[in-house]
Amino acid sequence: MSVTRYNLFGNMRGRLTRNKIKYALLLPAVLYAAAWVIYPMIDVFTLSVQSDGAFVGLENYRQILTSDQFHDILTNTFVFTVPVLTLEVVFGIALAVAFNAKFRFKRFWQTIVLIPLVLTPFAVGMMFRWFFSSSLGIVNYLLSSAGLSTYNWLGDPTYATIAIIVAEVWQWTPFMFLMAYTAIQSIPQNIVEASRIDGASSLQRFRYIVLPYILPVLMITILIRLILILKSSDKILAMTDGGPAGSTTMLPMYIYEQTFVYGSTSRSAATSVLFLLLILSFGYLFMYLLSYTRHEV
Amino acid sequence: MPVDSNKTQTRGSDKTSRRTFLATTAGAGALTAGCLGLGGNGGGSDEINVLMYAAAQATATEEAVIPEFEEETGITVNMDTAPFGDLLSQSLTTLQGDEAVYDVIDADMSLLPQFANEGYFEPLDDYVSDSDVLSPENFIPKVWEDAAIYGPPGNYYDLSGETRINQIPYQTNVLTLYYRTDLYDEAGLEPPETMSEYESAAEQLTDENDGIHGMGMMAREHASVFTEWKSEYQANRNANNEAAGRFFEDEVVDPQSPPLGFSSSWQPVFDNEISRNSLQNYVDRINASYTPDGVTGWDWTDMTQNFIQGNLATAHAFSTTARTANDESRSQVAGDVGYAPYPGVEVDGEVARAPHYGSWCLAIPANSDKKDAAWDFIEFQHREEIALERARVGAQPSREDVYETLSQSEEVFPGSQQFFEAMLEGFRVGVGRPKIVGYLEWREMMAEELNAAAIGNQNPSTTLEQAQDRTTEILSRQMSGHGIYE
Repeated sequence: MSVTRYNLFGNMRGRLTRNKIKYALLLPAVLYAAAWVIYPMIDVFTLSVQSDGAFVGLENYRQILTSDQFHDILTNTFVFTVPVLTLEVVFGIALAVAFNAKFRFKRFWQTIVLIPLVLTPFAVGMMFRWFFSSSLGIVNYLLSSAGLSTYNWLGDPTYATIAIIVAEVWQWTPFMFLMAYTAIQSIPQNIVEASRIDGASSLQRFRYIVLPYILPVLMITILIRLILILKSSDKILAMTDGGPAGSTTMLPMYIYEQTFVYGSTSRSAATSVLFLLLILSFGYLFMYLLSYTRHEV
Repeated sequence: MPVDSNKTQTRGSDKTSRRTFLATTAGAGALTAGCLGLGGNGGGSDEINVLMYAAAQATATEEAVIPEFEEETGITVNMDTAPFGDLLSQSLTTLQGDEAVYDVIDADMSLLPQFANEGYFEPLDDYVSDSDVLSPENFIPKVWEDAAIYGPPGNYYDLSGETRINQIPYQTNVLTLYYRTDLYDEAGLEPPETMSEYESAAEQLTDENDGIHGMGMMAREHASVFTEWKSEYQANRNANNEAAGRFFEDEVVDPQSPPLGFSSSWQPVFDNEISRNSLQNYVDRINASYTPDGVTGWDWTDMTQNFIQGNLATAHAFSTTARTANDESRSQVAGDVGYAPYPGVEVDGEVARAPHYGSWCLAIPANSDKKDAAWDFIEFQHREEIALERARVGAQPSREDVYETLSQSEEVFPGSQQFFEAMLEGFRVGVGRPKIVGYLEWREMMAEELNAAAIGNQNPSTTLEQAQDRTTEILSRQMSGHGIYE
């Protein structure tokens, strides 16, 4: 008994010491988060319920949520996000499947495909601004050379939205490709071989083996991209400045303008909180779907 | 003008909270500046930190001012440059902090109502009165009054009180016309003086087979659409209509009667018959055959690029285009470019012009402890020989006498004399901005509404009605505490 008590006491001491070390090791990260994440978040929330330094409750939120401009910006953000994400997933997976095959100069082509990813978004925006220039751009030049109609790409709300979607998809599809390709590479070859022997077609192999295997990675990648798309602003600023008629103004651009151009910090703080809630909701939804997906896999 | 000094102490929609927010940001800014070696108050007394807009003025300062200044005074200049958005946030950061990160900042004229009212800048009245180099007489009176002088802090709208010089204009610009001399000569045309002459010249010079359009426009949702339309609308100031040419009630818009841009009530009045007609004309020009397709996506960059590619017979933009247009390495029309003041409108047989103009200015943050050295730097930039040197390397002067020299006796690039002459005339007749706090928010809103009219999403009446309503909403937030919109 005494030995047991001694061991128990000894284990507890050891555990306490280990816990102290754990907490000590965690402390810098906690302090960092407190200083750079938690405190600013609390500060932003505090600002969001103030006006002229006085507490106004949810008045700023009411003003924003009932503002037509905010509704338009939410719509713009949705209209931009859904096609971008869909196209990136489709093209990313298609590229990953294509690169899974063996062909000559594969590494060279992989490098080429990944180039857009390393470019600065603002530079990409400027590049696409000139591609889509109505009078000097290569897009209209190619269209007219082919005998097709040309378009006022950046001066019309619909075409401007298409133009920024194309630029975003061009730059970020390689990211989706990279993640999907890595996931595909990790699929055990014996399963693929077994399915071949069983007579599964390419489509069946993709549907029943490849897709379920890469789905968890895809979900995480989609979540990361969703957050990044929702935060997009520099490329759009370079291409359209949020126009025409406000049709490409997104939430982060609105928050930036409110804060640093208009000086309406309380309003921008309230918008930031709403933006954070939106992103957290998506995050929660995706984590739920991810756990469901894992269960299914 | 209405003043409520008690209320101005708690002015602005978010003044206190903005201070809290920016104080935090200022800490981070100061930390960053420290990491970058920008001494701020911690630097030596023979060093100053300067923040400038990343454009021609910064390049000119680096090339034509700093080396000579450092050699003559022994003061080291650490210059940072930033694009417009960053410049604004960095300026606010340094102005709100306890200690200045920068000793001289490059301030856009549009921000002066806000900055002056907060007392962010060191008053320069004594420096100017003691100066052998710089005097208000060096400037066109309107430019000086618009860009430099504003009321004391917390009493911004009381212009009858003490003089307060907040900043010194040093990079002044105005919307100017550029035209292809070869095409105009061939057609026997003179540069247009009125918008209707501009339209008929454009029609005559358009040759779609050669890919040449008579006129460019810049109707993108951008500052360009506002400045372009405003330059026509405000030329109507002499029309038989009290609101004509004005954005706000009783606003002074006659360039010969400075100070311009103030209103007694700040009630918007620009939804009127003259403005509706003017906007309709603007939209008609966008849709005319003499204007290229797609100008609703153009700003001044597109205008310049199309002009130097030879796609336009006439264009209008700000000064950067001038040098690019006559630079043989970049322009296909170099050597064939003429300059003229931006056209106006004919009212009662007289041509009235109102090209949009503005100026970048140099100011000393009130929290700088190197104010004398900072003033030396500002004063040095305004020496006649330095101002001329700046112009030679691509900057715009602000002194009237320097413009006179440049337009009469010295060519700094091909056609520059005609260019500076057109600019000088433009400054004399130009109209700046309404002096409202929150000007940038208002301008963004106007650009959005005008662009919506330009692309045909809404008609001019709806546009101006909505813009006027939104103006009231913006001003009621941004200008509450000034004794108006309470």
